[in-house]
Amino acid sequence: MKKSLGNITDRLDFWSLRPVAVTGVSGTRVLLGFVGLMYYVSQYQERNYLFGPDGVLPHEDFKAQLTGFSLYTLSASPWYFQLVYHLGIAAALAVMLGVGGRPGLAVHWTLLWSVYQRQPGLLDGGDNLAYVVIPFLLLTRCYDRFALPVGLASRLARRVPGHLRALSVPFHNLGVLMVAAQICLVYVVSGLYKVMGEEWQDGTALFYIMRVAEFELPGWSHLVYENDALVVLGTYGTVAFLVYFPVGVLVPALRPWAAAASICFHLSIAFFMGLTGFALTMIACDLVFLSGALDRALLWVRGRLPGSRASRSGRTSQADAAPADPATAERPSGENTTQPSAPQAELV
Amino acid sequence: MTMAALSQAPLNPAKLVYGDRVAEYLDPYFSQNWQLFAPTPLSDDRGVLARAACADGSVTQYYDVSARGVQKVQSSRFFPSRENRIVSAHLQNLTSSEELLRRIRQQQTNDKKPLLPPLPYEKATEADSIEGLSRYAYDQLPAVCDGETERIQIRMYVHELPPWSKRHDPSAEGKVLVHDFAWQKTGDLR
Repeated sequence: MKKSLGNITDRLDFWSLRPVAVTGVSGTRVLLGFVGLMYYVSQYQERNYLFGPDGVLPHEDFKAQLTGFSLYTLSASPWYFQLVYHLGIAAALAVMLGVGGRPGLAVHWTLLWSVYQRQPGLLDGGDNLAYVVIPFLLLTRCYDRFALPVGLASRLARRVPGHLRALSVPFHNLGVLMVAAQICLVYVVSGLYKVMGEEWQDGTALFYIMRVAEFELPGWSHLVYENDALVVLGTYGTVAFLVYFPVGVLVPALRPWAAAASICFHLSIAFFMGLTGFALTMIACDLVFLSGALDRALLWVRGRLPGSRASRSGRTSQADAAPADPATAERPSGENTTQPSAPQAELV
Repeated sequence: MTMAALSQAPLNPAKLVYGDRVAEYLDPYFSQNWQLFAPTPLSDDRGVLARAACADGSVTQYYDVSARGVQKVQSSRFFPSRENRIVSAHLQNLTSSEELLRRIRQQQTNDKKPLLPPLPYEKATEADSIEGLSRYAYDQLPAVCDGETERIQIRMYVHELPPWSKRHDPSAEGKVLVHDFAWQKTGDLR
């Protein structure tokens, strides 16, 4: 009894003192920033027609059908529209580069939500996941890695009262847990609904989806859908992967494999179905499970760049007590993410 | 997180009781929809044809106004254009209905009873989508009628692709369903 109590308090201590998957969520932030940036950039030429006040959804109609808020409602002036759109680009770029810290991320979310709602017909599951997950990232230390060094943020951080700063780690861990639980929910729900579908049961769903013109890559898709074995294996493989993803994540030994499988799965979706933004958003969220691997990759890269070594390692040790040694770097992130297992299991 | 999970569950007793309250809490900022090509994957090509009535009284042929958007998606694999989704989102609105209503109507069809007529909100969504599609079609056809278009009519088509069992049959073409919507005055669209 006493031992198990001690065990629980140890775990609580660990949970409130050691930030988990810092590199992973930083990667998530970079990639989500990039996808957000590309949402603006890839539609830059068409922006006036798709999002503008005199475009395909005129300002008055847009205001009538809006749910929630959008900064684009405030004025019907084309100049105002250009201003908000370009501010959105700047905010997304700042998030990707790691400038502006979490307040910058909140600004990015506001602008991104606004442009999403300006033309909701364009959205897919990836955009949905992005706007759900960014508020969770606001809880985390997602600017501790892959960020351009800016003195201002750390100077501001030092002004925050001590008892508030003490909450930073548990909030960080909660944020990571929520991202992890959210992505598991996405996979399991989409997997279970597929189990219910006739074509998914028959092993022919891939054949049907890949022929739909909107999701077809001419010259390539037929190589898959005309091959019976690939169709059946691909269909069943997709369902099995989605349904068992949480198991793959909860067992530490399987975790990198589950995340790697997910990345391959989504890269093929990006290639064959043209859903680049969707695929990269999913991959971004998978990165929270790959924190150890990312740490090792970073160390390897730093080993190749002797010039930046000294300054970088000084900065990380100041940012938090992150282990710089690959052996220990793998361990804490591996153990820590096991702890969310209880709440995640309930979800499934 | 439990609420998010409940919102994603299939229609069940708990969802019938608590679903609205949960949706109130999650929507719109944490709303979720993760069915992603399930349970029934897409298996048809959908699109919109449009024709115009000119000021001189003549009526043009039909033009496929959705094909260009689809071509734009297919021509790039790196963040392709999403313009085609304007059409597909409206078509989705026109062809799908809320799960509970869908089941009621399915039951009525099976029992050969009169169908529940569209609810007021369904009519409003439909009208919005028809207007949206007509406006898009009008914008895609700037040159017809020498620019003097008075009215525009859209025709939705759903081309069901041949099923798996006929995959080796080159003569299999699949059914095409067509639905014409009412003429819209261009003055109301722009």
